[in-house]
Amino acid sequence: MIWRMANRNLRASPLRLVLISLAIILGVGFVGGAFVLGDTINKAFDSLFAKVDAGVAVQVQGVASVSDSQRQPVPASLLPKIQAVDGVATAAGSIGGTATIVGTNGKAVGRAGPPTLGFGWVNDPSLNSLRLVSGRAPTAPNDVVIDTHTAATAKFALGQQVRVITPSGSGQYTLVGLVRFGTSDNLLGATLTGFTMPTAQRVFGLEGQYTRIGVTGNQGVLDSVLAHRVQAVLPSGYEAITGAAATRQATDQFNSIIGLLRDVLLVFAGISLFVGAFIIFNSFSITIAQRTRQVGLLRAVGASRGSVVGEVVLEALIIGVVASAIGVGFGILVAIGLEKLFDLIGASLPRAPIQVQARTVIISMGVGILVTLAAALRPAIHASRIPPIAAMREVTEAGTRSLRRLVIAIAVTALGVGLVLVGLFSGLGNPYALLGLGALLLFIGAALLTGQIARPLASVIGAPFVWIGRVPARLGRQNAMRNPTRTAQTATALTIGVALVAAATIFASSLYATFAGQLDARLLAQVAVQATNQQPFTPAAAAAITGAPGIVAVSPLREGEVRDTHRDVQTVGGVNPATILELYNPGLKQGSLRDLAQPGTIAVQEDYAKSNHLTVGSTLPMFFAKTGVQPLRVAAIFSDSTLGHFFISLSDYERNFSTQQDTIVLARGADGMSPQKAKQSVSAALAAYPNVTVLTKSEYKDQVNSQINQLLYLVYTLLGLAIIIAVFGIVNTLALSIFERTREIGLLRAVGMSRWSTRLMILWEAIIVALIGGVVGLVLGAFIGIVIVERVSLITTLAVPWGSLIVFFVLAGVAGVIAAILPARRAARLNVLDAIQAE
Amino acid sequence: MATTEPSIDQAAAARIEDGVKIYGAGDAEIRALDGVTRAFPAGRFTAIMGPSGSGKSTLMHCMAGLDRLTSGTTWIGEVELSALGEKAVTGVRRDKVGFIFQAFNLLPTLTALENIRLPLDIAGRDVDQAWLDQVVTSLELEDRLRHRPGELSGGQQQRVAAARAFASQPAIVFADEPTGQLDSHSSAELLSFMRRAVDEFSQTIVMVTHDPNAASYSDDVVFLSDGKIVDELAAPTPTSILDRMKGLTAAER
Ligand SMILES: Nc1ncnc2c1ncn2[C@@H]1O[C@H](COP(=O)(O)OP(=O)(O)OP(=O)(O)O)[C@@H](O)[C@H]1O
Ligand SMILES: [Mg+2]
Repeated sequence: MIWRMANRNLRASPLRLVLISLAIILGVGFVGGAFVLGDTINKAFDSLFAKVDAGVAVQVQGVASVSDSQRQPVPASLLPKIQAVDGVATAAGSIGGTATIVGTNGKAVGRAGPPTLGFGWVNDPSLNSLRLVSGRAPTAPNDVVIDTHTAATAKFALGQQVRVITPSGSGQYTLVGLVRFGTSDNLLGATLTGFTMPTAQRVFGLEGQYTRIGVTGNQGVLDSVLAHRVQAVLPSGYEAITGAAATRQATDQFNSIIGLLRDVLLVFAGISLFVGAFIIFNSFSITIAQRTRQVGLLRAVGASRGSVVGEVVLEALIIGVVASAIGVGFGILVAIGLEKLFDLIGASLPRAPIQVQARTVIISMGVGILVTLAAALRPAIHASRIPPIAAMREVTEAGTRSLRRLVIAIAVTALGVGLVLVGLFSGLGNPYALLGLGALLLFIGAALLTGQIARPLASVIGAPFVWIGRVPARLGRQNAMRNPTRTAQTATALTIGVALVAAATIFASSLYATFAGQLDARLLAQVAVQATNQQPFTPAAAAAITGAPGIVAVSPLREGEVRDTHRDVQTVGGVNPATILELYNPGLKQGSLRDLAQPGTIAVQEDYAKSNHLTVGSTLPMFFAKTGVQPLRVAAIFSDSTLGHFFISLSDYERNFSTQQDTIVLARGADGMSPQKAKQSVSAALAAYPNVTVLTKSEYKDQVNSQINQLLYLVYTLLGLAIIIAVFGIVNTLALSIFERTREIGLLRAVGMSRWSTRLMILWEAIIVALIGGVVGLVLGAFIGIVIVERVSLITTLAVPWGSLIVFFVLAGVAGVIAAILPARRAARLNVLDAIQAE
Repeated sequence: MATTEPSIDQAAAARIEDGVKIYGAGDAEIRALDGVTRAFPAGRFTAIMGPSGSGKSTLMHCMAGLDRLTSGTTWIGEVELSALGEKAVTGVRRDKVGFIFQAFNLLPTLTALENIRLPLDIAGRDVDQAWLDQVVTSLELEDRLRHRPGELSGGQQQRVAAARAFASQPAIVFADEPTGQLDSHSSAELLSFMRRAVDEFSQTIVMVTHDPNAASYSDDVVFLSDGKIVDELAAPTPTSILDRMKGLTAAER
C-alpha cells in the first residue's frame, strides 16, 4: 500500500523527478568522478614507475635530511664500492636536473607548470628510465635525445641542431634520438632531454657525482637483503632503498598532487550535494503541501502517522537509489572527461584503464542516498502531522511567521557565524572542519532567516520591476511573496553558490591588492626576470645581465630549504648583498643586508626573530643538507616578507647548497633610465636565454593578477556546478508552483492576460526569487570573504571588488531568467478552459 | 429547431451561427453543440437553461472566446472570433468580455479591489472611477475592498467577481451558474444587481443557470438539449419556466 502510493506519487510528476534526480546525479557524479579520476591517475603512475624502475633492485641516494628537494648527490667514487658488494649484478649512476629545450622559433618549449627534465644517459637499459623510440643513444659530448612529444610539437627532426638551456648555461646540441619516459609519451606535459653522462655531469654542475645510483641484483638475491648489504658500504648521509621503495617515493610525490586534486573536486562535489539537498527538501515540502488533502484523506481512512512517514521516505529512497546509481555512471564520464581535458591542455596523463573501485561506488551511492533521505526526513515528519480533518478543508498556506521560528533562525545563523569565527581565529580544533560546519549552519540559518524576511525582501527587490513590468511584474512579485518559506528555500540554493563565488572573489582581490601594494612599497627594481615555465632557472641569466648597458644593480633570489632548530623546514634566499638594497626594500629594523657580505651571516624577518629572541649578533644554527649545521650570525632584522623570511649571501648559498638555480632576478638601471629602457637592455643581454622572460614592475603585477584570476576562474567553473543545480531548483519550484496555480493562471488568461504576459509573470517571479538568493549570497559571501582575509596574515589589504559583486547580483537575476524559460512556457501554453476547470 | 432570424441583427452583442462542437472521435464522439444559431441582442439579459450535459457551458465558452467551435462561426460585436488567432482572441476577452464563473473567480493574492481592477490593469486602461464606484456601491462592497478573497464569504466573493466582470464596461458579460454555490439571499442580491445593470446601463448578459428562479430575472430564456436550442421563452417567470421545462422533459419521453 505504501509502496503503491509512493510509486504513484513518483509517477505523478515526472519533471520534478527529473529535476531533483539531476541535482543528486550531478553531486554524486562529481564525488564518484573525483575518486575514479584519482584512482585512475594513481594506477597509471604506479604502473608507469613500476615499469620504469622494474630492473632496479636497489637505489642509492642522499638522505632527505632537510627535504626531498635537498637530497645530496652521490659521489661517483661510491660506484666501485657498490659494484663490489656481494649479489650486485650491475650498478650505474644516473643524473637528473632541469634542461629547457629551445624551439626552432627561438622560444622555450613547454608550458608554465610542468617540469623540464634533463637526464644523463645510462647505458644499462634496466637502470635507464628513458626508452629509445627512434635514432640512437647520445655518445658524443654534443649529442642529445628528447622526448617524442616535444619533438612532435616543436617539429624537431633527427640530425637537427637543438639549443638546450641547463643550469650551466645555454648550449647547442645535435639531436640523435627520440625517447619516452618508460611507456609514456607525454608525462603531464614535462619535456625530457638526455645527454651523455659526462655532459650531464658537466651541465648540471655534478662533476664526479651522480644524482643517484641504481643497482641490479644477481638472481636469487632478495632486493631487501641487497639493500642491506649496499647500505653497509655507504658512508653516512646516503641510503640504499629497494627498487619498490624507490618507485613508491616517486609515485608518492605525484599521488600527493593527485590527492589534492581529488580533495578539491570532493569539496566542490560536497557543495553541490548540499545545494542538491536544499532542492530535494524544498521539492518534498512543496509536494507534501500540495498533497495535504490526499494525506488527510489517508489519515481519515485509518493510515497511521508512521505509514505516512514511511511513504515519503520510501519515495525519497527510490529517488536516492536510482539517481545515485545514475550518478556513479555519470561520475565515470566525468573522470573520462577530465582526463580528456588534461590531454587538451597538453598535460597528458599516463594511460591506465578507468579505475572504478568498490569504495568509490559505496561512498558515492551512500552519500547520494543519505543526502536524499536526510533532506526528505523533515518534510516526511511534517506530512505525518497533517490531521485527518485536512481532507475536508481547503488547503491553506501555512502562516510561517512566528516568533519561535525567528528565534530558531537567528540562533542557527549565530551558531554558524560563531563556528566560522572560532574555526578561523581561536586555533581550537580543526579549522577546516569548523569552517565547513560553520558555513553549513550559516547557510541553513540564512535559509530560515530569509524565510522570515522574504516578503519585505521580495517587495523591495520587486519594486523597480513592478514599475517597469506593470501587471505581470506585480503578480510575479506577489507570487514570490505568497509563500516565503518556499521562496527562501529556493533562493538559498542559489545563495550558496553566489556566496562562495563572492567570497572567493573578495579573497582573490585582496590577495592581489596586498601583493600589488607590497610590490609598490618594497620593490625598487625596475625589471624582474623569471623563467617562462615559472620554474627556477640557470644563474647564467643573472650573470648575463650584470654589466648590461645602463644596468647598475642586479641580484638573483636563489631559494633553497634548510631546517631550523625546531626542525621546521624553512626557505632561505640567496641574494647579492652589494646590490639587493637598491632593488628591494626589506624594511630594515636592525643591521643591513649589506652586512651579509660577511661569510656565515643571515638576515631574519622580524616575526621569526621576535619569537626566537634573535637580535643582530645572535647565533642562529641552521641545518643544510650539504654542509650540516651552520651556526649563522644574525646580521640584519627586517620587517617585510614579500621575498621570504631569511636571506644569506650568494657566496654562502653556493657553499651550502649543491644546486644553484634562481627563482627570480631583479635589476634596475641607472638613475633616470625608464623601466622600458631597462627592460630593453636586460632583454638584449638575455638573447641566448629564451627560457626566461623580462617583466617590468607593472607587467609583473599584471602577470600575478592574471595568475590569480586563472585560479579564480577555475573556482568559478567548479562552483558553476552548484549554481546549475540551484537553477534546477528554481525550475522545480516554479514548475510545482505553476501546477498548483493552474486555475489562477487559467483565470488570468480568461480575463484577458496574454500568453506573453503570463510568461513575463513567471519570469519576474523567478528573477525576484533569484535576486533574493543573490542578495543574501552577497551578504554571506562578503562576510565569509572578509573574515578569511582577516585570518590569512599574508593578506594585509582588504579589497572589496564592488564591480564584480554587482555583476554577480545581475548574473543571479540572469540565472532566474534561465530557470524561468521552460516553466514560463509551460504556464503560457496552458489551455485556458482546462486550467479554469482544473481541480 | 433554431428560432431566431440569423445574422442580420446589427445590434447583437454576440452571435453564433451553425455552432458545432465535437469532443472525442469515432465511437467516443460527443456532439456537445450540434448546430446552434442564435444572436444575443445588446442590452438584454439572456438565460440559458437545459439538463446537465446539454452543452450550456460549451456554448458559453465558445462564444466567449475561451474555446473554439469544431465548425461554425461566433462573433463578439462585429468581431468574428473564429477568424482570429489566439493573441487577438485574448485581446477580445480582455477588452470586450466579462466573466463570472461558478467558483474560483478571484486570485487569492490580490485584494478585492485589485481583483476588480485586474482586467483593466492587464489592459493598461484607465479606470473610470465614477463607474467603478457605482458598481462597488451597488454591490455593497465598499468596506470589503481591502480584503483578500480568503477573508470574504462566498456571496461576497461572487459579488467581487461580478464587479470585476462589469468594471471594464464590457460589450457582454458571460456568467456560468454564478449563483450555483450561493444561498437564496446572496443569489437574489447578485441577480438583482445584474438585472439593474441591464436596465440602467444597458449591459448585455448571458447567464447559464439551472435555477428557474434565477432565470426569471432574465429577459429571454433559451432552452438547450443535446447541443441544440429546443425552445425559447420571453419575459419569463419562475412558473412559466417550470411549465416549459416540464413540457420539454415530457416531449423527450
Ligand atoms: N473537455 C471535454 N471533453 C470531452 N467531452 C466534454 C468536454 N467538455 C464537455 N464535454 C461533454 O460535452 C457535453 C456538454 O458539456 P457541457 O459542460 O457544455 O454541459 P452543461 O450543459 O454545461 O452541463 P452542466 O449543467 O452539468 O454544467 C457533455 O456531454 C460533456 O460530457
Ligand atoms: Mg456547465
